[in-house]
Amino acid sequence: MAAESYPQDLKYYKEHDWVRLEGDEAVFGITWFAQDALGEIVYADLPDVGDTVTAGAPYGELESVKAVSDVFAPLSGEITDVNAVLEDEPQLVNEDCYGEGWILRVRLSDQAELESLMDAEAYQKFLAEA
Amino acid sequence: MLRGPLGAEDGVPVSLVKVLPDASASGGAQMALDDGLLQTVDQVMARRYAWAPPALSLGKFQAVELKPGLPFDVVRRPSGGRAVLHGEGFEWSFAVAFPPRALGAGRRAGADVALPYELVAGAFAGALRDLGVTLDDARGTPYQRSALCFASVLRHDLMSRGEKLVAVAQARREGRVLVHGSVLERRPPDELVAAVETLLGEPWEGDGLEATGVVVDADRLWRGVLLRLEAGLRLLKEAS
Repeated sequence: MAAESYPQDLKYYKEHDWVRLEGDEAVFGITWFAQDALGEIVYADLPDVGDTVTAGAPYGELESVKAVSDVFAPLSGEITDVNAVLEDEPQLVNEDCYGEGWILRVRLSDQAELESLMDAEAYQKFLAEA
Repeated sequence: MLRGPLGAEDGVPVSLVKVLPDASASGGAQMALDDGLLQTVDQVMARRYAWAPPALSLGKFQAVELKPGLPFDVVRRPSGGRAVLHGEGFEWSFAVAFPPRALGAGRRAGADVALPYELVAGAFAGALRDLGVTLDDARGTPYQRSALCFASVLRHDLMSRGEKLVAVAQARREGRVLVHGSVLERRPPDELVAAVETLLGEPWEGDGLEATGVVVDADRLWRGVLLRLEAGLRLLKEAS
């Protein structure tokens, strides 16, 4: 597993998701903190391309050796791509959570939702408030 | 085997934990009840239950090709993990459900997968030790995979003399947490073991509590678990 990090070029959501903004689309994944809390991930139950996701609502589930947990959408939109590699290699979420362990790509439907996201510094402060 | 509900009237001074009546029912009914707790629980609740008729519970995403003529029901759990064989006379089950923020309101608490395990598995560990069971230190044990839960080993698992005594699984949904599990009292009847081995293609492992050489009364164990769970929640409450 990689060392704890929260890249500066990403945005973060309170349910421990990261967002990489690319034009009118965004890539979602879970943060280092989230994958570390879950432990070794053994299965990813993910939606299909064309489905819609809603900010704050669960869009899939990750099963780790410890638990089955919801994964929450940080922003709303239509799914344009799903990381199909996770079907066979779900542990990529642990090994490279900001890279090969990405989960969804979404065409955003409400740019105003971006204001609810945190930058890396704010997210680390958020974590420190525990 | 389960003699009746334990609660305040039975000398268990619980107030943070609502103890539900014991229930003996089919696997489908038991998992519907646990799933209902996961969806709606609004205070910490605990229950103990028996499976009649016997059933094999599968993890939520566990892939198993079923065959006709099995001598037990097959049900799917809302939690993850591997297959567990349940039935009266060799095993009993439990569930503890936590509403949102019952485990602390901090930023990390909502994502803390370890804490619910530690509370519940810790309560079982303490209660088992009180009854004279010596537990192995499983913390350094590497994860052992098997299609059978009692043949798999995780950091929080409760082991004695290399035998896994209690299987624990967890599901989380919209802030609620369900920790449920199974106490293996003794090796199941040969007919059930043989059918499980054929279905999953893995050898049965597990003689449960009987292998420890200590006679553990289920009622005393559950009472001890409830008391320790209550104490653990009180500590959490005081710390927050």
